Amino acid sequence: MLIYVLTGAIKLLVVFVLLLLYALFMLWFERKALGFIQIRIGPKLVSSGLEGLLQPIADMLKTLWKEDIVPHRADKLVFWLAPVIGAMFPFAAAMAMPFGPPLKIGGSYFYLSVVHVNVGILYILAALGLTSYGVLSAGIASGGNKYSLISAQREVAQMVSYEVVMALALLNPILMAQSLDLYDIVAMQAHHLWFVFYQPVAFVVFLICMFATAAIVPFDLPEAEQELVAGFNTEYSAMKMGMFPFGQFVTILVMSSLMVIFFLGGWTGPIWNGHPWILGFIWYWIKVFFFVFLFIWSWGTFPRYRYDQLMNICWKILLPISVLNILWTGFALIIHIPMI
Amino acid sequence: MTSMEAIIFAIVSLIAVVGALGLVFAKNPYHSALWMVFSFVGLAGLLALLEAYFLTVLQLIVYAGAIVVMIAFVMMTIDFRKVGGLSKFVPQWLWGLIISFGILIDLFILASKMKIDVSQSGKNLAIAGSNTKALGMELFTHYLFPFELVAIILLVALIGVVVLTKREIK
Repeated sequence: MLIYVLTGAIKLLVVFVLLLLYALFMLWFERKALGFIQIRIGPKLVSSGLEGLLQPIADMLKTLWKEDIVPHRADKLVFWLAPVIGAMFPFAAAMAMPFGPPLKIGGSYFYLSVVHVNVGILYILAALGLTSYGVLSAGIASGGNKYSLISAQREVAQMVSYEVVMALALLNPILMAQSLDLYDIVAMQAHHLWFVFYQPVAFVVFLICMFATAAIVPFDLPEAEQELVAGFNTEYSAMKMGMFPFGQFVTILVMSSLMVIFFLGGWTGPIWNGHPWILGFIWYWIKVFFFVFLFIWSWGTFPRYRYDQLMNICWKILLPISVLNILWTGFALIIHIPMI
Repeated sequence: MTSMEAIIFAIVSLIAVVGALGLVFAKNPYHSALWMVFSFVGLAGLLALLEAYFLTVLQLIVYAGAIVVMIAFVMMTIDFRKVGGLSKFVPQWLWGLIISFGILIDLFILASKMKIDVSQSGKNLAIAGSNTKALGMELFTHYLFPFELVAIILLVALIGVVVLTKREIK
């Protein structure tokens, strides 16, 4: 019992530190990749030899020393709570995310995620769903600032709509693997083709929902700088403002890993499959970081959808397609169409 | 082992009860909504203690994640200063008090009749293994008719909302 609690605590600490380091690295990577896409150089002065790799640390120190302004009309408690909620729940979601293939030690498996429950995917969806309270609270607590309020409204409508479609898209691999356990879903793909080949429609739907859930550029309506100043961020300053992108970066990582696990075979590779353990680990992180890069790629290249277009895409196109897709998957499973 | 579960049970149920009290007594409607989420997290913790993980996450997704978000969504149209200045309870508070007190007494009587052993609190009495599958099997075989009935009632509510809101436009 004690050893169980102890390993859990150590895992929690390690994952937390790794996620913080990842978010710092992402700050640099985002600016560098966006610079590359827009034919600029990007940050380079801090640590000139390392292509500005220490820039996020300088940014963070600067953010820490900035004055923390709270608007006079703001709801003080919720105003303070909002960035905490916005950063906390993506971290909570990452607790169930696998950080690599399970290690086989002796007869038992050692899982590289802090919690391993048999409803892992539902847990991640629940935590990501609660994330929207961060932006919602920020908008409402900003003391009647109209940009913040409109931004919060958009965020909530977007989250609620796309969560439905995302769950429906994920239902297809779940039905095929007959499990809600992330490890079981990968194990299923180790013996067959990757689910992207059986479920191309669900793959595309999930790809779209991925951007919408993380509020990245074609769907970054809550933050739309050109119309809403900075949306829910408008009244925030200093460290409070810095916490929202932290949460967003972790959401990006979790969504990428979900994508890889559900549709691209997790830690199975096209060649050098499975053994030794480290190959699976490398395959997994190559795929995850490709999708993390895809987020930034879309950030730098796409224009933004209008609000009504966003809702039309979700409710009039993606939802009927997903429902039909589930009907087809269920039918195919009942008449036992053989899987390759 | 049991004592540890009892401690966790105490913490989790405290979260649920404090959340519910905060929901009733908060003056700001948005604070009430946040307290409601807090309370639902406590309830999810109670379910997790029973190892009903599927119900735990459904509690979080459906109630904390979707329903309270929809309630909070409505609050976008509220002027919080005005609402904060209103008196805390509606004039019918006496009836509400009587009814909720009656329900509380009812629950106490039920608990004493059922001889619920308090020393067993927090102990897992649920079925072992994956209860997702068992739940699905029960829902779609034994309880299929009520299940479909609930689905139809929800559909009626959905259509009703659309009809009510579209009536003015034409």
